[in-house]
Amino acid sequence: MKFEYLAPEDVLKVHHASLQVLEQVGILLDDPETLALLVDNGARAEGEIVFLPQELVLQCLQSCPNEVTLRGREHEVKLGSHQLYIHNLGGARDILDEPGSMIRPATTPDVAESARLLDALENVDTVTPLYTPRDVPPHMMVLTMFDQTVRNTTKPVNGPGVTTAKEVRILAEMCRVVFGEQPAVSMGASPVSPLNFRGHIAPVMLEIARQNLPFGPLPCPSVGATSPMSLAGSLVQQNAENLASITIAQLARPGLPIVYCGRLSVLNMRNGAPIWGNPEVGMLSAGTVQLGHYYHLPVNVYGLAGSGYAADMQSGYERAMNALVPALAGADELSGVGEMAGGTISSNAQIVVDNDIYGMVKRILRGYAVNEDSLAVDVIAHAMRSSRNFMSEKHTRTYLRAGEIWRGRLGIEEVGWDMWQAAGAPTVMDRANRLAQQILADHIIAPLPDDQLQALDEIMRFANENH
Amino acid sequence: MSQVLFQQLANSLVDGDPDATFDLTKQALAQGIEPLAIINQGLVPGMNIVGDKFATGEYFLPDLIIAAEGMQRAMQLLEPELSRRQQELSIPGTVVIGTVKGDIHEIGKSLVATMLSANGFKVHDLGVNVPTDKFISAVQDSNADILGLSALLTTTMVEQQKIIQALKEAGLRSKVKIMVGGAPVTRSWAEEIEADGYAEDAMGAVRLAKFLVGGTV
Repeated sequence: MKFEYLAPEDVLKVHHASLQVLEQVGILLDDPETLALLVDNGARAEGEIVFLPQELVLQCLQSCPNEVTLRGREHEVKLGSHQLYIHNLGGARDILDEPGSMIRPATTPDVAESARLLDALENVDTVTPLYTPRDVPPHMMVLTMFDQTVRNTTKPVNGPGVTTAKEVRILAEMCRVVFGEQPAVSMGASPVSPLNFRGHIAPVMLEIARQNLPFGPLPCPSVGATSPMSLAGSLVQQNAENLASITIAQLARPGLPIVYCGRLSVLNMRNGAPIWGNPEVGMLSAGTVQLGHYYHLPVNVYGLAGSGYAADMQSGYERAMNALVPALAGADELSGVGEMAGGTISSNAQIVVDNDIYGMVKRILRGYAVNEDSLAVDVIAHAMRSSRNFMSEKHTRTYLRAGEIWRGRLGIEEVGWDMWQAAGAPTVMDRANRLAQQILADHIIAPLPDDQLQALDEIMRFANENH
Repeated sequence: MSQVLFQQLANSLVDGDPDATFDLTKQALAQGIEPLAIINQGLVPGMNIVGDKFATGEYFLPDLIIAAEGMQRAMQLLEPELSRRQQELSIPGTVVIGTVKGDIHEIGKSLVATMLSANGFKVHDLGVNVPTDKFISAVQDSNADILGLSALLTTTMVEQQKIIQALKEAGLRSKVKIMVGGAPVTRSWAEEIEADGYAEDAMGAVRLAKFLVGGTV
């Protein structure tokens, strides 16, 4: 089940235009070490602008592996194996405790609890630290996010968005404590669009490569503001930002696993606010998937994305469309579980709802078999000769057990309006919130061994004291 | 003759053609038209039309920004002429603005700066990744009425608090109004760090700035 949103020749046009941008427009860069690395390998620098020749970019693409493994305590995923994997939003600022309540700043226990909930949900494959806790000082935020998440899930953990090379070093140390000498934990770092790798950005990319951690460059251009208003032009620029990031990483460590990522979004052109729920987000994600696959790299794009502040019908239709389009285009990873209000807010109820949306997406991708058994001529004949219904057919039972009909966690239990009223007329968010509470009451994560917990505590203490 | 030129100047802003605004302003000065007349009879009426079209929903943010750029380019030609004549435009206030240390995100801060200067404010844009002491010396040197602090990241937002603290320690806090902005910034954060105000978008920032310097909203 797969469709091509862009024609193959249009993917090629975007590719060539991106190479042209890198060669003729260049990127902004001020880190002397990265600059030296690029210039030694054939790039040309004029002040803080660095021009990347296409031979260099293509050579660096050649050294990227086609598959990327991410490994957790008990589970692993293999990106690039033509299967869709799901992860959640990262770094939300606020939490909505109950449907209809007011938001409040997220704290450390929220990071832990959300990781445990995500661990329990069958359609979430890898876990990203969901909240940026605001009860710790800024230099401890990213480290706390990782620490709390790794303690509360056995699924593969994705690194939080890092901002300094020092954070990368400490996170790599924490990864080795839990996952051994060669941790398969991906790290993301965003260039600032358009084409800006100044400040901490290039050193962070170098450090991720040195630590040999799978790297997901994460450009986030906004159409019409930090990238061109034409969607194709925005794809060109995002691709150029990805290719430049890949070039830096591959020069620092040839063969470093790369996940090709895209986070293109659009703005409300009346006020400049991001509107992630617009259909262009899914369309651009589909194009991003095709570009990454043209380079034989696994691709990670938004997926679930909505615009508004309420978990309402608008959020539902926006996120469903934006998840389905890139999924059908063959995305290897989709994000967004728990996303509310353009990624600034999350809640347990939204996480549970999104688990079901991705359940539906995965069901659509799975398709249905058409073969002698499923065409069921014999079964129809048998039913016609006997009860004239299919409830009593063995065939029904077999297909039911095999999951022919998807069954989500939030299916309507009540039959009829009166029964629903008698149950308190619950909305999907009410039911999701109740289910989240049940899951959290029951779902226990095996604690990390004592020596690992002590080592993590020690690293955190040292990082806090040596800030 | 100058009426036609004034009309063309206004149209160049409405049409979003800063090059034309620049050339027409040059032409007007060459014809000996007074800079204050160019501003009041050409540029300001043009900006008013743009503002009206935005208010009615016909125009979008890029229409405002490109008109503001045209206005800025015209003022680059007109300001030296005004000071040569020892004339002065009355301005609503002086603003120092920048993105805080550790953060190199630019666009939100730049949009606010452009919209403020299009509304007559004198704006000192310090750029991105600006250390605290640079904000403080800029406030002192420019005798600013307003300090605008931008942050996109939850991890850098805390710098806004540090800068306000540093202004208090330097004895400058009461001399300047502080506006904070950026994706993670909320009203409760602005209140917590004792900023004077916060806005959700560039237009809101202009309204806030006008309010803070004592004008009407």
